[in-house]
Amino acid sequence: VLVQVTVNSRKCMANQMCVRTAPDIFELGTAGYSRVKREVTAADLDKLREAEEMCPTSSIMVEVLEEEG
Amino acid sequence: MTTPEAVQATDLVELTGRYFDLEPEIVQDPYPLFHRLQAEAPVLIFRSMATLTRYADIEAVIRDMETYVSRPVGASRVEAAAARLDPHRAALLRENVAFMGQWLSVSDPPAHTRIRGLAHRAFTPRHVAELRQQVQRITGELLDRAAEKGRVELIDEFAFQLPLFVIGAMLGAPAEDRRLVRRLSNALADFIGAEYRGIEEANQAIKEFRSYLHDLYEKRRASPGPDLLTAFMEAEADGQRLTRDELDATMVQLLFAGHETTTNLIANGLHALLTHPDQLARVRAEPQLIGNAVEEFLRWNTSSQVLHRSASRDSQIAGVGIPRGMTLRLFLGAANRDPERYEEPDRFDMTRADLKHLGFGIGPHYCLGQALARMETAIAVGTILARFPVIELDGPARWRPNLQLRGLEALPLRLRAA
Repeated sequence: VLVQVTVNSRKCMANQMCVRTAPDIFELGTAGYSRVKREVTAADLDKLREAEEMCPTSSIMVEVLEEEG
Repeated sequence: MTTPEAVQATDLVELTGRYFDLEPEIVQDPYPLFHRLQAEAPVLIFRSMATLTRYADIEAVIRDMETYVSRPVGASRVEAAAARLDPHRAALLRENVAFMGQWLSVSDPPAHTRIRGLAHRAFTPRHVAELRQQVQRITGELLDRAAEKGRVELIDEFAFQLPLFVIGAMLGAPAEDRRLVRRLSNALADFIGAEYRGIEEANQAIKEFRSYLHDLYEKRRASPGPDLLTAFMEAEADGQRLTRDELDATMVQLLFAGHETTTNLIANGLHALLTHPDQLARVRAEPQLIGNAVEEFLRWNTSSQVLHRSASRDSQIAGVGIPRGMTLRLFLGAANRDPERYEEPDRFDMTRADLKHLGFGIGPHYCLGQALARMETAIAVGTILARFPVIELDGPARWRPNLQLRGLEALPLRLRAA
């Protein structure tokens, strides 16, 4: 499976629950909003789902894409 | 009189003092004062505080949690107030502030991180969405009574009841205790929002609140549930995550802040629509705009107007020196009307391209209950509009004398059902 995560910085209010939940994946960018700092894999899925759940502004979107064949 | 012309002519420091002392005419419309402060003294040093009114400055202060902390530092505005009191009342003042000092909104890491972590999960957008049907049902029931009479005092008969019912259910406080919680909350609101007036009343309210809570804990201990109170009590019981004082303080803040601000958001919002017929017609014609409308309610008459911070070290803001220990008074309600941030900031317009605002703050302290407040307000105002094709103001709507909580004394309405 392919895992994708995006942060909508127009909605983000820098609450940083994502940074606390998964500090190895999320960080506060130079503009002051959350951003993804590295490639993510299926192994990150639990932490990504937790960050998605805890985001107060629903700014994090996790997508799981099944690979063909 | 404080027409905009009068505001221009009056000394800015004197005028600010009159607002801090809650002179009724300025309370009715503080925005001309805010605009003068933004233009002439965006960082005003006055009464041992730095008062800020510009969006960019306020956002920067809130975000810099190391320089500007939530707890008081050194000779704070609390000690300045205590110095003017007799020893007995000074002791009560310190007691009140010490209790409220454990509120999430005025705590710093690591305590803030720990307590916020315990509460946060109950207020996520997904959890809040699960409460929609319950909110819709209570809204319907409260409006049934208003429909029968054809008139309503919106705040007393509707806007405080709905959010208090919901937060009460989350915290194990029965619906029949609403009047008690409302009365105690009002005493705290006066204390917080009027420069520590009503010290004795607030002290008594805290005592009553705590004794009420201890009864709730006893009941919940006998029958634990899947609610937030049970989660808090488990955290307190293990002795590591929450002290008894923190439990009491957090419960009082959630019961108080969990309804007072949303009460005002609902009433301020409906009042804004009723005084802007074009906007009212627009949202009636396009009910899907209610989400935008709620954001504009939050910007245009922000129900929680002020945050305070303390400088943990010497700093400068817009060229003005802020010494360590100074209190900063941040007017979110002014930031949300900053002409440098918004085009025509005083125009109420739910179709603005950029509806982002500081009504719930920003950063780690970003309002815990914001998703719930937004949902309750959208359902409350949306349902009122759908149910009553004709809504008219039935008397004057005056703003309460409170710096912190911007809300109306009463909002009497005449209603005609479909």
